[in-house]
Amino acid sequence: MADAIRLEATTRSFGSGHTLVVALHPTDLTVGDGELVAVMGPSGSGKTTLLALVGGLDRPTGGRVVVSGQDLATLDARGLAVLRRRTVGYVFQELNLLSGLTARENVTLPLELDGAQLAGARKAADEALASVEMTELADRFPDDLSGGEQQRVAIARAMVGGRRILLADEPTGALDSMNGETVMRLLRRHCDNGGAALLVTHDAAHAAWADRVVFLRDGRIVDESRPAPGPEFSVDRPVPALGAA
Amino acid sequence: MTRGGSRVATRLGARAARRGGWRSVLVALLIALPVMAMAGATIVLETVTPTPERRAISRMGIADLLVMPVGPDADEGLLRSLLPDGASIEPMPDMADTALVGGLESGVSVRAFDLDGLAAGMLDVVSGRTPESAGEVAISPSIARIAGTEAGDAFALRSLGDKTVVGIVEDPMNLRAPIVLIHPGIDGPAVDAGPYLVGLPDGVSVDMLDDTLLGSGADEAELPFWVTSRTQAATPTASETGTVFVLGGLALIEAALIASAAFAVSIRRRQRDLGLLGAAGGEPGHLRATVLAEGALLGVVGALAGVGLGVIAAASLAPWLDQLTDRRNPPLVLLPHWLALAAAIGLAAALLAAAVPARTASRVPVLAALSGRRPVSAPARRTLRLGLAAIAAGFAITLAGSLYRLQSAEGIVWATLYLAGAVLGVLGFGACSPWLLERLEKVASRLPLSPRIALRDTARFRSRNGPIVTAVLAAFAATVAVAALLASQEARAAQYYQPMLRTDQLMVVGDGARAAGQEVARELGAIAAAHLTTTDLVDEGAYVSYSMRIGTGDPEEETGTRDELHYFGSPVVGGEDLLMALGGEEALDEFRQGHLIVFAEQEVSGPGVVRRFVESPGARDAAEEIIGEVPYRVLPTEVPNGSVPSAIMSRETAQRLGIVAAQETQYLIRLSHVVTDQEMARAGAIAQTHPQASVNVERGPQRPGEAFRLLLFMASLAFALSITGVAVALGEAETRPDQRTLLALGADPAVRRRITAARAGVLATIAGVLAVPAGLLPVWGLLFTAEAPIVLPLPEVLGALAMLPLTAILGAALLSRPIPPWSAYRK
Repeated sequence: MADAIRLEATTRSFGSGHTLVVALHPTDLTVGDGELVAVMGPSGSGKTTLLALVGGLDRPTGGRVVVSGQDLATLDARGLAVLRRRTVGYVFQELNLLSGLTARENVTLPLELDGAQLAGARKAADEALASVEMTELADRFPDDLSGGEQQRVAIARAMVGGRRILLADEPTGALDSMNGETVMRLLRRHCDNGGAALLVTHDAAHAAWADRVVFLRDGRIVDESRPAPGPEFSVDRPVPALGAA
Repeated sequence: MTRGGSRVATRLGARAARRGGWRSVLVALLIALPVMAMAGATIVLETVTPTPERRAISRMGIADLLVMPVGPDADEGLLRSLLPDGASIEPMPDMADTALVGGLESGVSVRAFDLDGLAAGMLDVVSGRTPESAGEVAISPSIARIAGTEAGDAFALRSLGDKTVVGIVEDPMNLRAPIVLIHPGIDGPAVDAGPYLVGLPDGVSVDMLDDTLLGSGADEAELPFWVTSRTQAATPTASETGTVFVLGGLALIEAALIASAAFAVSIRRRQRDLGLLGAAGGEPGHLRATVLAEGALLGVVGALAGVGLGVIAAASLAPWLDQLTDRRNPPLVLLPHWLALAAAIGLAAALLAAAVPARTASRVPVLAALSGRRPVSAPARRTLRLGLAAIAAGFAITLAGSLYRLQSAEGIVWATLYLAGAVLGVLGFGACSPWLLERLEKVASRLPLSPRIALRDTARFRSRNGPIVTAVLAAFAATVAVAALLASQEARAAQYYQPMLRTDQLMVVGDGARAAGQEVARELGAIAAAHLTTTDLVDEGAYVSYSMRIGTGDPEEETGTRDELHYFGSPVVGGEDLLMALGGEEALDEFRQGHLIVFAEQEVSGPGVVRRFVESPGARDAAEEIIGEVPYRVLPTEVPNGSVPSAIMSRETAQRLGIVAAQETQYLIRLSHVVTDQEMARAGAIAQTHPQASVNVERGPQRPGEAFRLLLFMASLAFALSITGVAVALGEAETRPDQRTLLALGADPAVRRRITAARAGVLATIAGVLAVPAGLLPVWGLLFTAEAPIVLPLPEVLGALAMLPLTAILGAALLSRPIPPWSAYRK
């Protein structure tokens, strides 16, 4: 199993002198292809910082971040943007979608930003939407979708174009348990299909879907475990009905 | 609403205003600036506008009557006989003279007032004293400056001789007036009597005076005196303060439109807060009140700041008011009621701006507000109906104004109707913009990413963008209106324009015309040049003139056959060179044969006769006789009513008819081409070297309004761009989550610039297109009464319509920032 994500003594600190804040102490972490890794920890433990470093939205103060075999330190801002368009997909807790675009258009967004022809982008978007069972609502605007539906669209956008790596920052935080489970099933399926995902969550039940759970406290990995999922954490379990908010 | 509810609303509104940052500053500034202008202008106007009493003092001092002798024998004796006993009469002679000092000559107004008598207050003693003897004068500061004269210096008047300056006096209502005050008791042929200042004895009023003096019941033409009472002299003139408030009100409507957009953004930003208020039991009225409280607070701040700034501005201008108005003005006149009115209008504008957003905020369902979801926009069809109704009302009111204007010269009524119609028209077209934006949204899916996002955002936030579009279109519509009006008036003037010369001719006039004309003809390579020799002359006191009449018909008839007669007055006598200069070379053969060559607009036919008119002194009508029937040739003319003669005869023909060529007047030159600007300048320079000679050239109808129109378009472009910038900045405040998403998706940070530029372009384009019909509505009304067509300066309007969105796009792209780095989105 190749490493999709590799952190080598990666650190991130802010400020200097007596105002120095170390958000992430030297951390080593790998996420392989096909692996879903959950990151848990209290607020301020560095979870979101870790995600931002992997996604190229932030630069480490020390160490290395290697994503899909590429050392991010060798990429300039433009290169990091390309990384996010083609390799890494982001899913936030809320406000994921551009309100002025339809669901389909939100999914085509990274492809269009990458210069893809609209027809081809739409075809890829439809496939992605079908994989999250959002085909019928493809022409709706985000304000006309429920929270769960919006997150499905966000996941479809994160996966469109064959992007391997998903970064999800508490994607189920604003959802009910049924929709949250649906989101986790989609993430699980993505990893089972060869992708990789790094998931930040507060919910232990959702963390149980992961192959590994990493615990952060005060910017350090303090524990790591491998949960043993029960039959309820099966991607083959029927997807709940759409529209439940 | 309970008092507690009001308190909560006020507190929330005040907090929103404080946390609004630059948006709150913008709203306050939008209110403050027009209020400042109104307050400052009102203070200045009230200060510099003379009071009725001051006007009366300026005209007649402290007298009760100002009496002007007009009839024969109207002198002081007659006046005294018509006045009651005890009335005092002071002549108030005012004559023109010339001051001679140190080689400088200056026209002056010599006045003989007794400033301690009835004329008190008409002049003020600035320094020194008033003259007490015949050899003394007091002069005005303007003369003292020109002559370099001070008290004690000699001063010479051409008519009144040498004097000594004993003081400096000035007319407080006309500081520049060159005045020389002499002793009122001076005698001399140069000093004329009248008008008179009259003081009535105690207990006698103007009404008690003799009818012969005042004219009641008598024929005014037979009155010996024109009498002006103090009340008449103190009649107030029309106040311009009302105009200030009308213009200020219009500016505040514009400000309210922009401020409305700022309030809409404010509501969106604190939608969750409003949802929490609703969840806690707040009613729609409470929600409305929070927004109105924000508006009221910003309105009060803006209004008070505006009044304060207006007072400061007026106070800053105060030291120069006397100089600017040429009057001695009192200290600044601060009338509290005008200042309060300005502040009240500003506050009303702020509340008006907050009204619609307040209503919107009160209608968002609580759950939707709590979820942070954008409330569903009201169907644009509703505002479209309102807009069309407003346009129809504007049209009807404008028509009413036109019909009223046809019947009455009372300007204030039809001007008010036109203004109301124009405002309704602008608001109506602006109200249609959300519907247009909604329509445009449908084409967005076919556009590339940046314009697609821009168009969708603009359409979906149409309740915020609608007022902005209206504000931009109002500014542009005003420019379109002025441009169309000027262009229409110029077109009408051109339609009736009568050229004075052909475009290839120059006319040299004046006593030096021959010499100057010959030099000009040589210098410019003229193809023909000659003197015009008139046939009109004065013979033994009688004025003799000639005219040619062509056609059949009885000249005594009122109509009918008389209409077939054509008249060509004052034919000139000359040779072939003059015929060429007039452009008649085509008729050279006939001219040589003795024909009269006539230049006419239309074809004429029938016998041609030459008539002589002799106007003798004392005769009622001129004596007319036909001196001969002559053959003629008619040539078409480009100058039917110009400076060039309409008929020419040869010297032989004139001799045969007994016509004496009188005198040379102008010198006519003809070139082979249209006279260029350089040739005109060269001819003018040559003429200047000859005393009393000048050159005329035909330049066609002038278009004085062209430069002004261009300036107006530039100004409105700048104004519209600034409003568009405000709109875009307000819109940016709501797109922060989108920016974060775009960054996370790997968008080029510059995509924000492209989206912003596209947003600005959409707003500017819609506003520009709607501005054209909105601006033409008042122009239609104004020209309706003149039955004149509307001329739209298409190149200028189309150019501005193209420039507006292009410049908006460029400005937005240059001034907007890229998506900030990720650290900006860290919680």
